[in-house]
Amino acid sequence: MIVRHGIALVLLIVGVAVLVLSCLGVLLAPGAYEKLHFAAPASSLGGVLVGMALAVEAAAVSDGFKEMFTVLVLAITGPVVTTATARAVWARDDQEEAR
Amino acid sequence: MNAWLVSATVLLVAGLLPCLVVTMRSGSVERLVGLEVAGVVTTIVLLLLAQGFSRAVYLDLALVLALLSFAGSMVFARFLERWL
Repeated sequence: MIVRHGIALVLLIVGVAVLVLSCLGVLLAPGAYEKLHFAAPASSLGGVLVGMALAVEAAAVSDGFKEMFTVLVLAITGPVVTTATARAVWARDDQEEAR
Repeated sequence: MNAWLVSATVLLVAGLLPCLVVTMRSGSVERLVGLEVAGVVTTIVLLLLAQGFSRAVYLDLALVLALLSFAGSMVFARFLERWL
């Protein structure tokens, strides 16, 4: 029980640290591409780590299925949104160069 | 106050606040990036609050937010790509 709590706590702290560093990176990075580099780990790494912490601790609230499904949605949609945003940046740069 | 609620508070202050600043003060694409990260952080905060308060209903909210945040971000990205 104590070991499980410990593992969940470590996963939670690392996940929150990744999320906070990502957000600070998004704030401080100079351009859109650089901000995107910091935005990607928030969903694909930070969210998954917090979800793993919830799954290890599990089941105070439910059987953990909804938490894992939500984190899975974040992990799948995160790279898709990042790619779509990067394409938008590229298209806008392309249009500005053409003018 | 347990570890889940402390984490949610930390994320609200040190995670959501920078995203909101970016969303309010940068160029249009940078604002979209801030909005995307803010959606992820809010979803995680709702998951943590559900665990911290033992309220399963927040999990539904987190799932709906994750899906709608994805749809909204895709619409904004397409819009910025084609028309703005």
